[in-house]
Amino acid sequence: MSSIFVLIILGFIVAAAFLAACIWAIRSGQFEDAYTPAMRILFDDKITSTEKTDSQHD
Amino acid sequence: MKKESLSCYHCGESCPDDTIQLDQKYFCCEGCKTVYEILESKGMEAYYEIEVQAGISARNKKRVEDYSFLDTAEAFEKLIKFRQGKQIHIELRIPQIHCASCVWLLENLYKLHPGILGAEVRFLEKKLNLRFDLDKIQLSEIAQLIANLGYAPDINLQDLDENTYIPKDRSFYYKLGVAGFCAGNIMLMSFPEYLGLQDLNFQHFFSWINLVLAIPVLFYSANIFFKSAWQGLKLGNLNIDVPVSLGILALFSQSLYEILSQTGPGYLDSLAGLVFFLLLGKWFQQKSYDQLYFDRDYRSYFPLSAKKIELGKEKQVLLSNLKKGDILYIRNEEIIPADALLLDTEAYLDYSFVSGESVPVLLKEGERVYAGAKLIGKGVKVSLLKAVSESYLSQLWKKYKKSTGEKVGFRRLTDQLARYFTYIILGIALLAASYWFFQESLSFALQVGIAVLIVACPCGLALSSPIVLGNAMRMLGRNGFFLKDSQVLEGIAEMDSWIFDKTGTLTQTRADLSFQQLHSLSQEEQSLVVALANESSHPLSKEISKELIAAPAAVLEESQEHPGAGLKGISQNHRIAIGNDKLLASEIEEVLEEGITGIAIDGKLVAGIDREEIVREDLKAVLRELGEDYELSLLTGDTKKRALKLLSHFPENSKFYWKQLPDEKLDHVKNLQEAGRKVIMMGDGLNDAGALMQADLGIVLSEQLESFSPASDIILDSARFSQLPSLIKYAVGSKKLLKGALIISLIYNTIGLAFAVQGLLSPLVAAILMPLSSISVIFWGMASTYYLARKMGLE
Repeated sequence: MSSIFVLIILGFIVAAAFLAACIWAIRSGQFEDAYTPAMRILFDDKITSTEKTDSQHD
Repeated sequence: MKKESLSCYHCGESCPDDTIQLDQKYFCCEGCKTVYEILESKGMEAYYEIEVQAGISARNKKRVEDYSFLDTAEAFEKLIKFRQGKQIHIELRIPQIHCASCVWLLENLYKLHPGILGAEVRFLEKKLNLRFDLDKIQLSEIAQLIANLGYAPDINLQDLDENTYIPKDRSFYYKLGVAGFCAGNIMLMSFPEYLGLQDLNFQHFFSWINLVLAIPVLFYSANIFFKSAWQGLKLGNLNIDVPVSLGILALFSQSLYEILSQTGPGYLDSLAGLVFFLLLGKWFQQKSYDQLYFDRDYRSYFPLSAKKIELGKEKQVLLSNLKKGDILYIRNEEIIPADALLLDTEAYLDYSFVSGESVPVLLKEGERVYAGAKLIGKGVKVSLLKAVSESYLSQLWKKYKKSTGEKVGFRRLTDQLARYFTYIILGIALLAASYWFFQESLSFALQVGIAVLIVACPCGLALSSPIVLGNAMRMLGRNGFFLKDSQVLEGIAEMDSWIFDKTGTLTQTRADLSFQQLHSLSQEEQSLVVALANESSHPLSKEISKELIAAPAAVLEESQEHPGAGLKGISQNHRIAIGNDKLLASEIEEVLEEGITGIAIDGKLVAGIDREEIVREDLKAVLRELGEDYELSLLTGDTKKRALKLLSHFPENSKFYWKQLPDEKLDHVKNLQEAGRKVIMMGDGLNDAGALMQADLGIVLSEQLESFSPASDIILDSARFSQLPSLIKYAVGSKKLLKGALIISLIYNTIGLAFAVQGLLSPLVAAILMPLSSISVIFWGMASTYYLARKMGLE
């Protein structure tokens, strides 16, 4: 029976971790702009590709 | 190489010729090439790789802006949002942001100047957050730098008058997160109860955990509703949050009693779930368009500073510091910030902002220029008669503001219902309790009374509006029809009259002049025409030069201007004439129609410019369809002749009014309202602002959503004009859908009440009924709004 108590405590810890993650995400402003980050992904590649071509010139 | 195949490497516009080139790349103008050079020298060619031809054309760029005024303490302190020693944070609005390349370039500004520490773009809001080091770079230099790249920041008078930067309120999200966390765990802890747990020790243990979890929901997450209800009560009106708060409090007190007295598990699962669902609905409704400004006023059209001439020197001065008697230098396309006297011999002024009259006016020396007029042509000097805040336009605006004040909102359907609802529920609770008081005992009577309040908690009712209207607003927004808030959406259904402005609303702003060549002009002919057209600053001449931009101007030997009629000139032994019917009468055999400007070479008519305004696509169909439901009228500042040109597009019983001044437009709307009509006013700009604000609903038709939106309730993307009837029908229809949702939730409430008054409401019944009603309403809201949009042919 005491296993139930352990499980409940564990369950709470996991859930609280998610709540903490949620609060952290809100605080860091992730919900204020959900659009631009999707565009930023695009150019990470682009920058490396130009850097590569630059190094080939050298 | 063929001309047609050349498009600018920077902006993608077609190049007039192949003379401007660099690294095998062609450019349409020097401006574009310069930007390319800057980027290339810093190794930032990635700009062109992310999106091909991403640049902003520099060809039509207005003169170079002088940003030096930004460094004055006065402007600077208002604009910055945060400072830490020498590190400054600033937020700039940049309407030109349009693609991934823009984002990349602006976020990599630090590569262009070491003083810029970092930058972040918010694409949908078209904003740039910038950090810079005040020791290394000034704000004016930053503005200059990004303006040179084609991204001139949009800083206007309104930004300087009041510090508009408000930090974002994140507490709503925290509340949602906390409610979600608690609701999930409370439901988990209640599960054994649903399944019929018999062990009392466990039951108490779980109940206590639930109680602890419910406390943040009640005191933190739910206080939005309490606050709103309290505010409503203070003002003496019962809004929907009053019965909601009542229900929440009833739920909690009953649960608290049951748990403390160890008589039952309470209804905390319903409570937490309810608050979570309600917050979710609110979030849904709030998530509309940050990037649109609905409440801009005249100040957003004005420049921030003007060139003042002091002791023979030009100095950039903030508008608010201008005084009566100051002498200003106004350049082409600039707006006159305050009423002034013209000091130069003549100038063309475009009053379309103020009066709606689309033809520029010629003013002579010493004549009075009103604020809001736009200069067309060569720069002139003016002497101010008044300060900016005392000028005609500013006064006009203030008058509107005063006369209308806060617009009297439409009563929301749910709030209307909430009024009756609250009384009825309190009545039923009282009746049921007193019945059971005589039949049974006081404690049972109390239990029944609270049960009624619990089950009547209008969660479905409160959810209907955010879900149905929120989703409908989202659908409309996707189709270029942006509403200020859901109240506006409910209001549309009540309207019965519709007033249109003409210029820019029913006719297109861009293609006012249509250039028609009788035969395709040869390169030589084009050069001749351009040569003569360049001689004059008349807007029509400008239009001709622009039309024939590909041709280099020939050398002009002789030219003379006939004011009000046209131009004549001689070049390379050819006689050229541009002008109206009177001027050309001596040149050509044909008789020109009045209002048409002809171009003749050696006595032969070669081209004509019709001042015919181009009406919007599908205008007739749109007006016919709207005419079925509304009484239409046209209200324009333009002439009778031009107003009547639109007659055939309107349904028969429509009314026409021309030569209307802004004041008269406003009065016209007022008169209609006094006659008991509900008026929609549709216009495009400042000259209608008063009428737009006075009308029950103001719709602004906008070519550029991000940069042009005066005070209004609705903004319609002009590209979607032909869809207007469907959009309006959808908006009207969504109110019916809202009624449907309300009926569904009322049905659940009635079922619940039937249990409650008999004293049969068990936690299990509540746990099933309450979420079920919320979920039904959500499902109905989503499904029906999608279905209606599909039916109306919306995207």
